[in-house]
Amino acid sequence: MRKKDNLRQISLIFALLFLGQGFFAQSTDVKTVTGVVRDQNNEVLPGINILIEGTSTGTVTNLDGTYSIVVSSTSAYLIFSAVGMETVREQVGNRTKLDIVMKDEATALDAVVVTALVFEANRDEIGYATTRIKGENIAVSGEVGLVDALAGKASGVRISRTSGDPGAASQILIRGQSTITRGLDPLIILDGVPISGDSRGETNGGTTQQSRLNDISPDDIASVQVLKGASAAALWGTRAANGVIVITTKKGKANSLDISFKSTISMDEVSAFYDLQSNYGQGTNGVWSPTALRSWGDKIANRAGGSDIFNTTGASFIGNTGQVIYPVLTKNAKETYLQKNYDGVLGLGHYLDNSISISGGDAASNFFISLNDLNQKGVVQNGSNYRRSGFRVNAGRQLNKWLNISNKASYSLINSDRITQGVNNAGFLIGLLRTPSDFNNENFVGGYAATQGGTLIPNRHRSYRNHIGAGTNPGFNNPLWITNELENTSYVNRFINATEAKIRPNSWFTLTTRAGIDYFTDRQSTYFPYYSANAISGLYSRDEYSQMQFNLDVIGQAEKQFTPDLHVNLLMGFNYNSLNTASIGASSQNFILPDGPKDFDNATPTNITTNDSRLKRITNAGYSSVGFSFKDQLFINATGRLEAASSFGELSDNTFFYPSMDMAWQFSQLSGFENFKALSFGKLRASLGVVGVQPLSYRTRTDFVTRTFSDGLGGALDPSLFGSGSYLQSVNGGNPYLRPERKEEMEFGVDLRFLNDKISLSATYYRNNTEDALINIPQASSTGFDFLYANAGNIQNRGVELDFAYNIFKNKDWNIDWNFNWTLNRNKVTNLNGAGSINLGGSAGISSRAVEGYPLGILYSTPFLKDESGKLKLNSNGFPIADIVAAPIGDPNPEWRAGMGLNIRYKNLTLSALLEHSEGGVVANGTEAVLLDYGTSATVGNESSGTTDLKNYAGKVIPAGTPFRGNIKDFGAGPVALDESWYVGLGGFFGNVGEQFLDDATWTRFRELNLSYKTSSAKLKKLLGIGSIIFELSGRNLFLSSKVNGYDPDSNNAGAGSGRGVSYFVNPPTRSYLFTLKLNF
Amino acid sequence: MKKYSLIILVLILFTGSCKNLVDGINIDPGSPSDAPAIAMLTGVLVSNMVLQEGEVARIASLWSGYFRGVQQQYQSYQQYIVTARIFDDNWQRVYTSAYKNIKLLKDKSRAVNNIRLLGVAQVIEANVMGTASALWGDIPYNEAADNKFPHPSYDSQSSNYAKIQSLLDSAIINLNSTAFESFTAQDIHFAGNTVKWIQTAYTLKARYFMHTREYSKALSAASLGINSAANNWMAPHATSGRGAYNLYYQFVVQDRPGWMDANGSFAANLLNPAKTPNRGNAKTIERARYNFLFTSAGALNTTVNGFFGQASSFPLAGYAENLLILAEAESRVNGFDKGLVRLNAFRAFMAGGGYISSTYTTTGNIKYDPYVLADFTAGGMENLPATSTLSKESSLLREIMEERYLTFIGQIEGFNDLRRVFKETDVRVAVTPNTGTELPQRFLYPQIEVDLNKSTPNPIPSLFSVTTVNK
Repeated sequence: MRKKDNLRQISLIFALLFLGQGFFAQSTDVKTVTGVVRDQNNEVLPGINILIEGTSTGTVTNLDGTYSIVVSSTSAYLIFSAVGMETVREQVGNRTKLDIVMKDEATALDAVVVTALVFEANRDEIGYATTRIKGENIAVSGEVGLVDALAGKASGVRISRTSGDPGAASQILIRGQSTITRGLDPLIILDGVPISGDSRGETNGGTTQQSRLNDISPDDIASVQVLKGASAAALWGTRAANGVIVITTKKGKANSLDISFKSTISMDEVSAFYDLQSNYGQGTNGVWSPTALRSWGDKIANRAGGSDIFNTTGASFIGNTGQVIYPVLTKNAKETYLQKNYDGVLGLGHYLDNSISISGGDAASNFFISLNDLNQKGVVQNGSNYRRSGFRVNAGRQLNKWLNISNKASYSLINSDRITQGVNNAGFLIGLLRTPSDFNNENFVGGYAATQGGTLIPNRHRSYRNHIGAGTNPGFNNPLWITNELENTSYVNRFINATEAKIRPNSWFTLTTRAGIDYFTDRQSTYFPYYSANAISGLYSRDEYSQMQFNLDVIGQAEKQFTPDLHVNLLMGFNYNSLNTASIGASSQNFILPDGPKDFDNATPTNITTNDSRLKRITNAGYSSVGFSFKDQLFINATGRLEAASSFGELSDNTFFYPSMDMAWQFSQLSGFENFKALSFGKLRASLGVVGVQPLSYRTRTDFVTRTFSDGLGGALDPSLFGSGSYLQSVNGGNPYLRPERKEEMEFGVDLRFLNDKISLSATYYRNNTEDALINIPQASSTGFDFLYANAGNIQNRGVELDFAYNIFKNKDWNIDWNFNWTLNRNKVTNLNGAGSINLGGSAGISSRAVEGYPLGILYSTPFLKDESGKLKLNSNGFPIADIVAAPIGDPNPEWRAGMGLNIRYKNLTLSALLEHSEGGVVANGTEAVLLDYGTSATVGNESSGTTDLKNYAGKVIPAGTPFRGNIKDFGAGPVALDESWYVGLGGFFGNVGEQFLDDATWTRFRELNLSYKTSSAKLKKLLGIGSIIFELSGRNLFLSSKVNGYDPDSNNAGAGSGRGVSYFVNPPTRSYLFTLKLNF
Repeated sequence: MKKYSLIILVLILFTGSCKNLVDGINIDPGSPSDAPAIAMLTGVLVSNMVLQEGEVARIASLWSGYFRGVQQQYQSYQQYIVTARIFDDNWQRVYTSAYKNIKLLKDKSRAVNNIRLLGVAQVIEANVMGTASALWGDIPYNEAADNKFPHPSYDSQSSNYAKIQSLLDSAIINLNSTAFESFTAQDIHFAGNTVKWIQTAYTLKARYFMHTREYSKALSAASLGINSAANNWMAPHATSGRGAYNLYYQFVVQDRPGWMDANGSFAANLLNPAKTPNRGNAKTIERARYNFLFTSAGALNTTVNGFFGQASSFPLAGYAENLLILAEAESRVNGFDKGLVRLNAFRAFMAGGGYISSTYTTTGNIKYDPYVLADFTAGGMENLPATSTLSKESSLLREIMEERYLTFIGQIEGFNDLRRVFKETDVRVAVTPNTGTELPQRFLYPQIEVDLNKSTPNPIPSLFSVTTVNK
């Protein structure tokens, strides 16, 4: 009994150290137990491991599934396990025959959740809310990116697609925004190790960036677990404030060999587009002009008709179609080109997604190998594409009784070309939507000759303001120029490896070591040829970025059944994480050869600017958790993490502690509930925890920098081109007191299941406070700094999450499932410590900000002047007056959001649908505001006439009955004429009054609709070796209903950043139709 | 025993939470934490160039009848539709680009006893703070860019002008010092030539005495000011790289084409011989100056030798301004005769080509003959018609103001002049408001100050509220 004594002593140490509990002895009663192990289909299972819990004594089932084992106590538990099967734990009791049915893991998945450290737990025994999404539900969405595939599937998780561009990043918000500027992306744990899931370089202008989370092929994913609350995530400390998404990739099933092939073809089309007018031509004040910026020209119907009269004796342009274009002397033609210009650049997009996987294993080992390739072309007809190719090899083996090893490795290669958008004169929609309806965008490039027979200058850019290519500057890019001539490419190589070794020296202790590497390089290049907007003499830039994250966890776990009623588990671990990034690149302009190579040699040295940056960050921590379960009814778990990180300030405390605690009580196990049949399960849960966010690296001291002085809306002067160069003190103040943000959260919830689990309902209330939020606080420049990075903000989120599922009907042929989720979140910035308002994104005129006392992301702009009662103050002409200082104008956050899913299966036919709704909030339609100013919006394509004399904004009187172009409105002092003078002034975007352009952001969308048919027959198997064939027809975003016109109210200028609710020439959203074929061999 | 060791090991890992693993690596390998005074000089000089030549000068020009804003934001600015936020950027140029680095540069120069360099820094500071005082009125100065003051107070405009004068006095003394380490390579204006710096300091003193209407002090300062075109204080530009180009060129040609022109602007019409009325007369032909500044279509001349050309240097303070300060101050202090001599000195300078590129000074395009008394008496060519009741003194002053107005095209000083003599309706240049009935009298305090500096006046003065010195 020496061994047992040892055990006792060790258990005692644990008990004393961590539990403060006594030690309970076991009774002894030696006997032999026999039985048969079968699967759900009643087939016997050979090779199943059987172990007496708390000992190293075990056996394996025979070929006929039988076993025999000697146990020494009636209170002993037997553990039945095998790879790919759900582990069964069964108390022996008085029985000597114990037959077991084991389910394979896929079936068991519903009841299993994974914890932050990727250990499995029973969902009924945890004290916090979490959502698990099965891999097949992700693959079925038809979304190219993993992020978007999660949309609408879980309460408390809000996914907003920022644009319809292939591979564009989406904003992920878990339980509202709990940090102001430190990025909203949750921590992504892939197979136990953190990986990068963020998007690099999101700005208001330029191109949409990719989320690195989308590098993972959705077909490789077994499940995604969303850990929403602080207590669920506390073991990741400063990395978990935005929640944790735990992704598990597939592994092979024991004793099988599966080969499957999947091919999807998708057709994508633009799902919303702005209404434009084609009644008036290019020009100003009702007069046509071929060089005018706007479309406030003549009424096209009043033109003479026929052909324009050209000046064919002077300058000319020979376009790429061969057509010769001369300057127009008299505009006669009535043709308009809205549709043609649209069709020239927008149309059907498509993708082809192929993947093949081979998986399998035996009783001790498993493997999964996959190859995938996705090739997407965007709805923008050229220059918009995304290709992701990769492979994955997952393998694991139980080497002997105490050692299990596994390795999961993947490689992906992502190539893409993006289209410029947003606040950017080179933007795609800026070019397209501002083009007057009477201008034909064809012949976007060609040769220009200043005189008849003069020298032909090649490759000139023709645009609506540069109609014969005479100027070197096109104003805005011709959209065809953007799609054909500009390049914005990204080339990513990514390698992720996760290795795990599990040592289990005895039945109660496991030592898990996990090491992970996430390495990627991202080469982003931009090429603007000569005569492009923003780069008249060319621009070529290339940025070579690499990121290496290494993560190591060593985790010891012990568990012990002390009495039949008390089970205790204990976990202690150590975490080391290092992040190294490097970026080197350059940008050149003023090409020596206008059509020269994409190479820095094609510019003189002073026309090349370089960037060179490196970053190293190390975090390390120790953590521990202890869990108790009493009578399989009450479950209590407590965790703690003590962390130090290199980015903390020298003068702040250098280690921070993150505790959490959760409790679950299955009250339905109380004796009184046995008679209450309708309620099959009931659990109350409560938890609280603390998580954090690390400061940015290198912000603890004030640096000296080589800086360029930008010049308002103009260019810049660069001191390095003068004298002998210069170093000046940065405008960003350093802060040696930096410490992590801390988010404290508590939640209460209830999980109920009724009618033998046919109905399940889960409700959660949470409340979290973020203190010491890190903000780059704008400084009154008179203090000598523009920004100071500091712990300065407090934010609060409160919310309710509901998840409801109902298995309406089920028999052999039919299965109907209905589920519903609902989320409400209220956010408030409670304190900014005098930091004023923090700009989170948007545009110069309307921005999304953090302002004390308002929800995060509040829209901010100059309002109209109002009196105390809120009535507009009007000028003598009856028009409103703009204020000069900005104020909050609207809240872009929704009131609530809901998702609803329906699954109907009849025999081999399955129909599934997902509907999502977002209620309330506002979005600022900056695009329409500009189109009003430009006179291309349909809103200003009409004629009005007053019943009384009307004044326009300039004070001019338009007599009653006289038609004028524009609209009539009453601001409070009687009707006035809204004509060109209003829209190009205060009534347009550049009048700076953003409150006129707010739209209700409520929307409902049919996110997914999927119909699949599965066929399998012995004949097929025999003939072709195919086990089953599945055909699927799907639609994605088939239908979008909203109160806005022309765009998706969820689109967002700030990309995946924390700004929200400003739409400004964001590339259009898409709708897709997909066909999928799956073959299983 | 093995099992105990394991537990102990795990415990050590837990409690150790190794702080020393993470120490000392949070230092950006790419940025130093300090730089010597000399290495800061070029940056400081360029920061002032951006302030004097960039957006501030363009907005001032839109409001001075020099140019027209025709598109986008500039169309709004043209109509005086501006918000406090628009001025954030300009304010940052003053304080966080220029002033705080000047302060550091001064401290560092003192620390290494490079007194001449200190003098240069003081001249730049005077120019930066003088410009800001003129445009915004009361501004933070004594408590600005100082860690001790999170809410720098606003010092009165007149006390700031006084401080700038004594700063320039100190600069002149320091520039005469023999204690220095050469900064020839870093001094992009004068390559360390202290004579030129001292003349510049005097011209700036004269300029700011003009702002405060201390004309006799201005006269004596200007007499020691920039005494030849060769000593002009210019912002140099080059074609070497985009960040070295003239800022007007960058704006008009590269970044915001079409946003701003001078088509029909008050100043362009005044100069344009093709327009009536223009200021040409029997003694004056302005075609060369017009062509140097503008194109025939009324755009800014951004060609190689044009005023706004890619590599054209931009005036910060020069001989022309100094001559015109002498002319105005002399007329005001010592009367008509001496004033006329000063004006004719300027005309003589212009007749020789003045600040106009020689490309445009072809015969027949340029003529600035000296004026005589008769030209300014009623019925004279500068005092028409014959029934004019304007005194010769006023008509001379009016001519000088017009000359100053045209000489400052594209520069902030033009806007400063308009506001200074706004109430002298008989002599001021008759620029009319772009809209409404008032001319802007100042720049707005920026939104960042409104939001974050509790010392900022509340509410902030409006665009049409006159600054103290112009009251």
